[in-house]
Amino acid sequence: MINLDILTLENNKDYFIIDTLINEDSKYLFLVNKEDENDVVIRKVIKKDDGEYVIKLDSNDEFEKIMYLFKEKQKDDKNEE
Amino acid sequence: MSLSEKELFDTVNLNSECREIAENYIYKYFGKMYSLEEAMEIAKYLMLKLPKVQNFSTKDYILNGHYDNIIINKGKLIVARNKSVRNPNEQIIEIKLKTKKELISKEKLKRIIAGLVATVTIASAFALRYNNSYDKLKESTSIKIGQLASDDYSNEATILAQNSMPTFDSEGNYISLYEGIANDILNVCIKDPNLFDVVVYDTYYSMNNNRLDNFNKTWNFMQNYMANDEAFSFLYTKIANQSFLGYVLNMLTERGDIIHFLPEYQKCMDVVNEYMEVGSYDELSKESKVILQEMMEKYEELGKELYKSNKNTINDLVQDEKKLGGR
Repeated sequence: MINLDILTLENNKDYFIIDTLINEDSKYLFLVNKEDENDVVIRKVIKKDDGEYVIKLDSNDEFEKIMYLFKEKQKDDKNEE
Repeated sequence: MSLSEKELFDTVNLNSECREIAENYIYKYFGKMYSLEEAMEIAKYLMLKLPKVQNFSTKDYILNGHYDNIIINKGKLIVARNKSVRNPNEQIIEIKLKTKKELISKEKLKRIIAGLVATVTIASAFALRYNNSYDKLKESTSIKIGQLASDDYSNEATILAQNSMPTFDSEGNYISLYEGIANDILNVCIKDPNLFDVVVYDTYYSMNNNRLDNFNKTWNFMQNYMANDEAFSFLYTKIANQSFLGYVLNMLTERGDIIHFLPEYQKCMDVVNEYMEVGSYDELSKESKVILQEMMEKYEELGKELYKSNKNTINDLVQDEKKLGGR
């Protein structure tokens, strides 16, 4: 058995946190629905006075940028190995 | 023999023409940002991430595990895009970041990975398609039989996207589904006979156009090819509801369950053939009507939810068909 972090989203469904990414002071989460691995989403974490909150991305441009960064992150991870 | 990791990921050997086609395909799937390489890089990253974190080998997984259950699935990144981006008119919903830990089984994790891996396979399948095997297949008469859908790549991409689905068997094991036009399936089968546990062949494209001849030829080809291979013991058929028999076979298959369909397949096809000749349910022979009833009763346990709908009796089916202007 493996321990994974789980986050409940606005649809009341639980998602595994598969990966995280930091970009311009924002953290992004790559999430996969606990019950449906076809349900894959990315969310942004924003900081507020009373803690961190998860919201949807603002635009397709942001989405594409983050996916690009995920790709770049892979290269970085590989280089570290 | 399964594809090696290198074969799976290495698409740079595509010649320029094939490469252009494959890239166009990826664009259609993933949007303008993603080239073939980009789409694969992202998918590779996501795939590699989990095994790394969870301390089991990607390579082992690919070569010895579920990776030879390759699937073609809806573009995962498209799914992510649609659900990740807020509609301009949509209210911003903030969810407090509060996580909890949960234990999941290795099998469950494998399933997740298998889902993510789908993006890679979209590209790799197209790499397969346009390699030498494809050229050989193009020259064979069997290949032509497989051209049931369209020669238009954009249509193929749409068909592939709309019809693909992930499936699990009753024990929760990932069942590979590769659904596309017959050419795609045959190409991949030729490339690697043991690649798939499940071959999906959507009979809609033949049945819908009364191209039974095409369908039967393709079916025979697949049967011969898979003759002694239990890996191909499943055949998923999905037939459109343009005909009464379409309804019936749809009931038998389209409910998300894996149906071991071969034992009844020929029986059903005999009825289909008869139906195509006589043109109506009423004129079917008594034997065929009995077969239909048997099929529905047999699968009733597997499709209780479906039988709760209005389409739970032959009469309902007939009425439905009449409403649709069927024969």
